[in-house]
Amino acid sequence: MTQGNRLSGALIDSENPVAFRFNNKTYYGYEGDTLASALLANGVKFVGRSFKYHRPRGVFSAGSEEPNALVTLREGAYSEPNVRATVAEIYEGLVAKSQNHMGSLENDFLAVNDLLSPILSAGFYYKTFMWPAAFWEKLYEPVIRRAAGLGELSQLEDPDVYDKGFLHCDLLVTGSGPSGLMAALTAARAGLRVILADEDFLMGGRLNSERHDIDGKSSVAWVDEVLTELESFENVRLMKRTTVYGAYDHGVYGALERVSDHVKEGSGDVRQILWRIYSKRSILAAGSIERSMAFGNNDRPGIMMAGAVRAYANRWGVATGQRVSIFTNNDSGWQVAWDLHHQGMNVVAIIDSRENTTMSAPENVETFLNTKVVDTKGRKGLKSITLSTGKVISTDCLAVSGGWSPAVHLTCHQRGRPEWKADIAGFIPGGELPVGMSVVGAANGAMTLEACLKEGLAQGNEIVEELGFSLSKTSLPKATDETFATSSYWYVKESVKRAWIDLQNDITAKDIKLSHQEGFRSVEHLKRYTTLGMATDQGKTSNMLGLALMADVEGKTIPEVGTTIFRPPYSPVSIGALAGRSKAKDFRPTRRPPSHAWAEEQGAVFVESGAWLRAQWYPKDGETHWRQSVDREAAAVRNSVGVCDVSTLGKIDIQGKDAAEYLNRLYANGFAKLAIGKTRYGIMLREDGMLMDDGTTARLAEHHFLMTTTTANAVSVFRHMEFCKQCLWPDLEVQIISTTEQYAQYAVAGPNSRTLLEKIIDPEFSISNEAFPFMGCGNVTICGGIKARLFRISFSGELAYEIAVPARYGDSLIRVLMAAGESFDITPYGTEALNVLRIEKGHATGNELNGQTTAENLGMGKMVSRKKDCIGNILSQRENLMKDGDVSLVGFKPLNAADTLKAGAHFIPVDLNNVAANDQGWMTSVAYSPSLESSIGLGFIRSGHQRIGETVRAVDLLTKSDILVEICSPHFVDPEGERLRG
Amino acid sequence: MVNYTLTASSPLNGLSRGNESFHIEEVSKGFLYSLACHQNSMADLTSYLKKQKLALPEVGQLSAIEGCNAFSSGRDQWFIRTDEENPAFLEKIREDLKEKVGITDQTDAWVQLRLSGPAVREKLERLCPLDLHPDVFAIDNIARTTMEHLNVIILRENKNIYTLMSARSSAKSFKHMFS
Repeated sequence: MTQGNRLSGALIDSENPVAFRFNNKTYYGYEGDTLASALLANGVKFVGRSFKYHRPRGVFSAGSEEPNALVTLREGAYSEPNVRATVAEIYEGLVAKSQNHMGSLENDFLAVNDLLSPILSAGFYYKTFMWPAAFWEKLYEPVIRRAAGLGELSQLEDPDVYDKGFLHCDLLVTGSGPSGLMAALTAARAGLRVILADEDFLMGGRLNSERHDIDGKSSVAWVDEVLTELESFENVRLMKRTTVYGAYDHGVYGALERVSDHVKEGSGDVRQILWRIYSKRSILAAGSIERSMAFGNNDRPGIMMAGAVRAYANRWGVATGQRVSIFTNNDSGWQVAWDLHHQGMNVVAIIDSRENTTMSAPENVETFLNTKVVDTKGRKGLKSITLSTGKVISTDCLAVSGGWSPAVHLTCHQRGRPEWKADIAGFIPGGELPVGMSVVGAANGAMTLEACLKEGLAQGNEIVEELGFSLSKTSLPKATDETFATSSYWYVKESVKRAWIDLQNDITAKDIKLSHQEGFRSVEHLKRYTTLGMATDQGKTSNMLGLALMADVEGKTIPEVGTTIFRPPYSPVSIGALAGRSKAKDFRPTRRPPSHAWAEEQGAVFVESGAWLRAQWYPKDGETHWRQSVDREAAAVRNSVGVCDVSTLGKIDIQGKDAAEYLNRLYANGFAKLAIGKTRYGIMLREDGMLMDDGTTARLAEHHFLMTTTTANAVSVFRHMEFCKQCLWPDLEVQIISTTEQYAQYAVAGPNSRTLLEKIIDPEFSISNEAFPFMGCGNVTICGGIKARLFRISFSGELAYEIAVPARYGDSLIRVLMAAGESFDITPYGTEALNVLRIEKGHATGNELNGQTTAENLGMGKMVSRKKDCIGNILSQRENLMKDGDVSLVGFKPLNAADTLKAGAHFIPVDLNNVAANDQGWMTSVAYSPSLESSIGLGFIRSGHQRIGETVRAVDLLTKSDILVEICSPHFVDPEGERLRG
Repeated sequence: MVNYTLTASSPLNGLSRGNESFHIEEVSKGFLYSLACHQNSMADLTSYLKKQKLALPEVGQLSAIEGCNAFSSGRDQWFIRTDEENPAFLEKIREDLKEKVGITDQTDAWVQLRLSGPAVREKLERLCPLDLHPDVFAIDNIARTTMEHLNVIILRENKNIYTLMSARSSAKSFKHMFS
């Protein structure tokens, strides 16, 4: 359990060691360690290979901005690539491995890329792999992707569970550093509903990583006290391990809570929760992010951000080196030296690019002013640095501080443009912030402790008053402002060796210059050309460097060059969390008709019809092809009796003394004179005169109707009717409500349907042809008093009924019908047979009512009554819709009965070429008709009704089908309708 | 004489599960009707219900008498829920007010789940986009919303008791929300 680099006095639980594996070797850390801190404690500095050149890389930072230390965590289906070791908490049994190397991490074959770097500059791929074009997808891209990239997916289904949720608050505080804690405390004491979120698993921000005193106690103790008080409030929710990743409209924020990433995989109920937070106000207290400086070979393992070196020493008790040197352009680098010195670490040198400073160094630390680091040595771990003076210093850790950039990202998510603040050499929030957002602390450019606390208190109080609460008596804690003098120094021009700007994307200073040289000078072009600022870190440590260098080569100031637009997410969000529980069969809700359970028992094959799951056919033993089942089912309806669940059709209850008038205006055909106890087929037009929907409407009483719609249009027709009722005709006394879900409805069709129904309908109700004729409807009772509605309507063309009962009896009714119909060999039929039957009968469905066809096209022009007005009536009479020679719906059968018709085929005259100019129409629906023992179809063709008997070609170029077909009546079966009236 | 019998089944077969902190139970008894008021009949309906001691509730509110409660479900429309002891309540309204109101049976159109226990709000915050803080969504508040792509009516019936209603046909998806 040796952890050679472990120091004392840190915020880890040294009583609880944790064993984990990295690259198949077991190491030990402590509870409270990240993978990065634990590896560093064990002396492991070399943790990965770079993206493009496969350069050895080590831990660079101590937070979510990490560009280098990307690892694959966990194994098998649970494995996750590209996890930043700096934010991954270790737990007992954690398995991690390095990525992006061919061979071992130590001996990566692809490190040869580094030798080829002179030709692998930015834009190399665009220029080189252009010919032949066909090689790109098959050869070039796979090879390049293999050689360059990050981690690999397991290709297995993610076994983790993710969820989503919704939170509401008066105030969302993002970041729990000094200003965030102060703001949250102020608001919480005043009674606001406060959410305090921090991406870290330990709240306190930089107060955990630096040494300060607040109110006469250590900053860590102060954090503890504040958090304890906040936890005691019912109106406060503390959300650690939660990244507020996006600022959206109206005070809505996206946040990702990593609920169980820190425990053994699979042991938590849910891995991550994607929260949508609705806030009245928000305070961004996200702090600032340290940036690097560009100098020769500045990417070696052991070269780290100075703030990170400080955090590893103070928070995690880890010495990142035995001989630490510091290269800085600002005062914080010197403060790091003092903290390391306090922790007993050996600081050998401070190199400051500035000519002078007020800072002093601890005893025995060599200091160099107006000096730079120009080169480093140590391929797999830093060994020495070379200064601009030529001096070589032996060191195994170089802490670099190029200044601090306020974390303004969330302020830009609605296109706020940050503004340059010269005294910190960084951008602060500017322009219009997201509604309700304010920014405090280092994120706002307040880089010192007392200023942070002061801003947090002031902003907290301001929001308390804005929201109408009484101010709490919270006073400003005593703290001091450390010095923060900085300089605008970015790039050591004296460096001869490659100077890295963006470690994650292997972008060097040379690449930035090349981008400029090639004309990609706008920051947005620079980003796309070089990939600067892309991938998991989004350039948090590198963007400023790139901008500064571009400004330098352009001869502009940094604010003149500007920044790229920050967009959500602030840091990576797993796709699983975005999906939540909406995956696989639960991707969207499924609607099941009342007979579903019974149909499942029969082994039915189901089809999705919108959200509905409908039985498509019911295979029987020995049937090996769907056509066998469908032919049998359709034939059974023609010859005896079949039953089909039609509960999915929309059912709309219409009541009121103006109900008939309302229907008259909705439907193209008349309904005012429909007799009580009768049903009528109706067609509805859109405002533009095109057909919208069709269905039957039954008159149950003088002022009571029941409309059915197609399954597909159930919702849209109801919405249309509500619009008409509320907006077009508010004077009509009518009320509508959907009863689609209330009733289970079955079509019972076939010559034996009446006899079957007589077995279950209570004897006081006669359904003889005289008592209950075609298109009749009425209330009946069945099975000893259960209320039901009966409609004598037929979609199949056979003697048929539809019977409806309250949905609670739906499952039972299908079983009763099957039992009662046993002697008739009753056959359940699905949507396929339903389709065959309706095509044989020439009935239109969605294929024909596709939104581009009129009543005229469907041969129902005469149904559009000219004696009354209705929606779409006037526009349906447009000249172009009424002209002779327009398409009309007719039937088609192949001249050769063995040919199979194709839906979607286009009709071409026999003697003409199959080009668009000769296209005369298209086939909408086809089926094999067991009655005709032939393929049949419905379709639209020009002047169809005048061309009965004519032969045309049905050409389908997709399936290379070219069949001669005869135009015929669409009514293939019982054209006179004798069966359904019988 | 018909020799067949129909048996009723609830959408989730009487689902009941959970523990002391959170319990979920299907409400499969009682009746649900929609009550729509025709033009110029509001006063008659209000006065009639007042005699039954049932106030017509404002949008977002639940009003209740013994064995019956009501809430607004649309423009000039309410849902009336009665317990199994009170089946004729709506029939009587229909008889007494005749053409002034429109009534439809909605009992079988909905699946209803009663959620209870001290952890109920914690469970609902993972599903419900509405703010259910007691100061915002008080007892006897109701709202229509969406949860996991389903239309849902949520009623707060007591401190830690909420009833959720959704379409019967998607009952299994509704149940999945709580898995």
